Order: sequence, then structure tokens, then C-alpha cells
Amino acid sequence: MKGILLIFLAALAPALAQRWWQPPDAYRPRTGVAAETTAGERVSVETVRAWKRPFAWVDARTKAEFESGHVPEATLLNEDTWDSLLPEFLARWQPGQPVVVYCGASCESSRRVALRLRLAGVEDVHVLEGGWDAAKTFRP
Amino acid sequence: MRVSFACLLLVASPWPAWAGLQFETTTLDAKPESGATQLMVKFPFKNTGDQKVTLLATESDCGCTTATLDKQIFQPGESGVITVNFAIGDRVGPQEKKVRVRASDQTEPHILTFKTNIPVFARVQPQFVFWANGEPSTPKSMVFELVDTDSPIQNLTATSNNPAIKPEVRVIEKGRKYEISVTPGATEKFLLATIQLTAQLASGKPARQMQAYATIKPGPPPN
Repeated sequence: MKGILLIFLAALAPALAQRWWQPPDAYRPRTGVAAETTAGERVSVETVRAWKRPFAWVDARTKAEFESGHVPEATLLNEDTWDSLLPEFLARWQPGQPVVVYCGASCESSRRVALRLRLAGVEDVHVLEGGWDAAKTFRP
Repeated sequence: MRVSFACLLLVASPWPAWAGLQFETTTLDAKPESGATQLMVKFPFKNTGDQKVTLLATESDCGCTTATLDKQIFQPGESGVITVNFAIGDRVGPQEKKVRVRASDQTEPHILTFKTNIPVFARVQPQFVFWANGEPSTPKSMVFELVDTDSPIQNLTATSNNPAIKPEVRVIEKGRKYEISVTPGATEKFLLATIQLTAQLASGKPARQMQAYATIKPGPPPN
């Protein structure tokens, strides 16, 4: 009995050693990136659909992703070329109009674009839950 | 006897922690040069296992990050480097990017993370001013404020790419804080002007430039 216990412990040793040697952080899945959002910032497609007022879509993905498909009327605005893209957004956006930003797989970029829009002076900015996958299901 | 058998089993059992790619570190802090447009980060590793390891693919969570490999197959004991290039673009502030490296030594990808902070030179708030169509042509203001206090500025100039928009700079706090007052000639037609702000640095370093905007929006017709 003692021997079996010893064998069990011996078999467990490599796993414990691996946990110590290579912390579990290394295996954290992609969705584990902490999403720091401000209150009311995140909105679902259903919420947006229920809005009765006009709003502006912002696509925070790369230019190539935008060109391969985007929500109709969306404006491309990302941090790759913020300074050259912002004028196009300002030309299309109406003061007071809410803005909904979406991005691709990781929604870090939409949160960053939303933050920069607020710093620029746009007050009502939201991040779409589910990113592009959710945005493409949007039907007014 | 039983103890020796257990010890033999221990020695003979697989050691996944040491078998395969071992990175010197999987998390790095990197500091970009001031004004740099690219940041290169290196993740050295060694194949510490007794079998060759094939690097199968790399993926990143941002189109701005690409990983390049020295080669794909690494024999036992062989070292290599994964080089990650980060296109800074117009990004500012703290950044954290991840690269997943799929390799034949384990089913889960190796996750490499680097953190950096892109220095913010200055802020303009708001970055744009607007007038509704037909609104009186009264001046509106933006405030330029230096954030990187290691680079005090000598003077700030503002120029508009549209003669119908006139910016004027007023010193609030010399070398640090300025007001940009913008006045439109008229507000009857749609207009979008870029206001180029040029900061001459006191240190003699190259001038820094930023953009702000002024726009006249279509709105309800004036009464």
C-alpha cells in the first residue's frame, strides 16, 4: 500500500514540477485578457437594435479586415493610422450622436479607440459586445 | 525494493516541464525610443528536450504585431529566437501584446507577452471643435498641454489647411500649456479643417507635430 502511494507521488512529481517551472499564466486562453470597461460602455447588438435614435458605427479593426467586410455605414478608425483616419470620422459623425465601436477577435482595440474618441471630445461612445462576429448579425 | 522501483519509475517518467522549448522569459517589458515607429522584442529559447521541436505557427492578438522565426526545426539542445515586431503606428500609452507560438512539443501554444508604454508627448483637448450650420461664428477653444515634461517647448504654432478657419495660440503657462482659439469665417457650409500644431522644443530636438480639427456640421436651418 505504501509502495502504491509512493508510485502515485512519484508520478505526480513531474506535473507539480511543471506547474512550478512554467506557471499556469503561460496557458491562459486568449479570452482571459482582462476587459476593463467603464460603466455603460459595453452594449449588445440587441441594445443597439432597440435604440430609436441614429448612431454611428466605428470599425476598429485593421484596414485589410475592414476592406474584406464591415457593417454598412461604418467608419474605419484604428490606432494604426489614427491621425489620418480621424478626419473621415469627424466628417461623418453628427454632434450628440452615440458611437458604437467594434473590433475583431480581441476587443482590446475597440476599448482603446473608444477611450481615444472620448479624449478627443466625443462623449457618448460604446463598445460592442462580441465584436465583429456580433456586428455582422446586426439588422436595423 | 519497492522504494527502488518507485525511484526508477520517477526517473523513467516523462518530464514535460523540461522536455521541449524553454523560453528565457515569456513576459518582457520593452521601452521604445522616443518617436520610434517600430519596436522589436526578442524571446530567446532553447530546446531542452531529447526530441526535435517544430515551430508550427505564430498568432497574435493584433494586426500590429508580427512574429518571425529563425527557422522552424530545432534539434535537442539547440537555441533560437522568436522576434516580435510591433508597429507602433499612432498608438500612445500602455500597451500589452501577446503572441501565441504553436510548436510540436505541447498541445497548448506557448504564450509570449510584451508590455510597453508609448510616451505621450502632449494632449490636445478637445481634439476638435465644431459649429452647427448657421451657428454664430464665435471662437471655440482647445487646450494643448505638455505631458512629456522632459521636453519643454519653446513655442507653439497653429496653422489651418482651410483659410476659412483661423486658429490663434495664447500662452497659458509658458513651455507647457497653450490655448488654441479657433474662429470660423462663416458657418453656412459644411467644412472640415485640419489644424496643424507645431511645437518647437527648447532642447533643440526636432519639432513635434500634432493635429486638431475644426468642423462645421450640417444642422437644423437657422431661424
